[in-house]
Amino acid sequence: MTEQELTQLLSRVKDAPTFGGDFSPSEKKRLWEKTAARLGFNANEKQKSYTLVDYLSFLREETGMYMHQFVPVFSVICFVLLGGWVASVQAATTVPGDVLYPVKLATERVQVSFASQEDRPALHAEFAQRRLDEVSEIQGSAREGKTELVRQAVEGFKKEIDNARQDLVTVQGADPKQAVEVAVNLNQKTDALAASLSQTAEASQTGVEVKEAVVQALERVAEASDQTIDTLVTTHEQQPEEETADQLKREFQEEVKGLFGRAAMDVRRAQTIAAVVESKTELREFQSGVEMIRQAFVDQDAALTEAMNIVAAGGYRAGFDRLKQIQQKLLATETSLTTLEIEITSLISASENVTEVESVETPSMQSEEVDKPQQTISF
Amino acid sequence: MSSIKEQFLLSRVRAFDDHAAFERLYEIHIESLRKYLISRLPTREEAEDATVDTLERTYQYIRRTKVDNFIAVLITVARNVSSEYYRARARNPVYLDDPLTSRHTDEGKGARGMEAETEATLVKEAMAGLKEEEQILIIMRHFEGRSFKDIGERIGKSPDAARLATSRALEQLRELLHL
Repeated sequence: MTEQELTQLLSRVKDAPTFGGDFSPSEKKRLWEKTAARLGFNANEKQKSYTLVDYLSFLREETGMYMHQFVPVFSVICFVLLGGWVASVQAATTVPGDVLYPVKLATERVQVSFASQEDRPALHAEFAQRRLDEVSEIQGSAREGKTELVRQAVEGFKKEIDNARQDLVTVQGADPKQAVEVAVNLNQKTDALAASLSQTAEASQTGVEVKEAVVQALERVAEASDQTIDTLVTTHEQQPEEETADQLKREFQEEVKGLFGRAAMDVRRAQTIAAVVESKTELREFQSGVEMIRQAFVDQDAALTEAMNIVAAGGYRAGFDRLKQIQQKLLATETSLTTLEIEITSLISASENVTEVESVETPSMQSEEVDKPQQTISF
Repeated sequence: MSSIKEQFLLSRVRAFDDHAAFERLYEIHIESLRKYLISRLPTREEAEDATVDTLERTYQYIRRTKVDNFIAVLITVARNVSSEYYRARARNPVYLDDPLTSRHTDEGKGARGMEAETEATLVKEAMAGLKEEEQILIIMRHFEGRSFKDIGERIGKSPDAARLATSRALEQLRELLHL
């Protein structure tokens, strides 16, 4: 007999009464009644429906043997998590020098490590803003060693900007299209940071060392801004798309607008200087300087028009390069303006002092000088 | 290892003396238990008594002890009960009629029915020569139609190991049947 034939034989006999194959439901019930009677049960007891509590009770019983090991471990985990949470909340408002400040920085590092690659530059920019907030907080407080604390916060700001730039490079390498969005976002943040940092520098009551650090930080922000533009231009050059072109145009217009505003202020300063120089014969020597500044504005205006034409023709990189050159020239012009203002003011002050000395000797001339309008240059 | 459902029912019996839980365990396993005992004992009446004895002892055991594999406990108890039966019978021999002639009468089934019962009796006698585990394997696989996965879970082995053990049991049965 083969195995198959044996299997068929077993299949034939399985339902035979000899093997209990005639086990009907009534037989089953009867056998239960007999068993229940032996055990002292009520055989007709209604079948019970178990509730969630019953199942939870079962789970508790099943895990109970491990509970004595689990409870201390769980307690420690809860303590650490709760303690960490409380510490991080407390640390949120700390500044350099505070005990919990390292917790704040550690929390930020954890946030960065959990963030996606494309979110990291914006996150670093946000943390950079926090460093500036810390500078304001320190300056407004009565802490000891404020100079050092502010310097630490500014260094932290620079570090965050550097990290943002580094992450932008990574995103650009991985996904140029994604980099456009990240660059635009970061550029907006760097603009806001630059404004905030300038205010911080103006409000700074700390020493030269801090002021230098702030200037360096401003340079970093400017570099970061340039990098975001470079990212946009490079991406557009590699994959020209209408969306990127529109974005570049918007960024260009924003920069031009900023330059126009800055130049308008400079022109007003120059006009004031020119008026003062015209009104005083002893200031005639400054006329050549005023003329040079006026010419510089004319040149920059022409350069700006040229840059706009280049961009309109699709030359984004050349257009932004021209803007950069204009910015540098404008900065040089502003330096010349400042120098002129200082020299002219000094000369006028010296002249007024001489007049005052003469007026003491000849009181009749004093009243005449007082009635003359003040001719100082207002900054 | 019993299923999570059986573990829950066993837990109910152990923790709350839950009769309803034991009844559910009865419904799940009674057919296997009954077939096993019928295959081992001479008469249906004796198998029925042994079934009730087995259930009673099993209940007392699981009330006190945490059990991982209920069917294994049930069959172990059933094996002890049937062994006790044969020890008692050895002390007080009862001369049964020849099963092939007197115990399985026609009962109106005709020649075909008698042939089937004769085949069943022969198989039953051959199975009595198998080890308990081999008997259980053949009952579960060929009488109850369980999968090897199910059988493996019930006897605490992998499906492949259950398949191999069942194949060996079948081979052993074939030898005992002299086929």
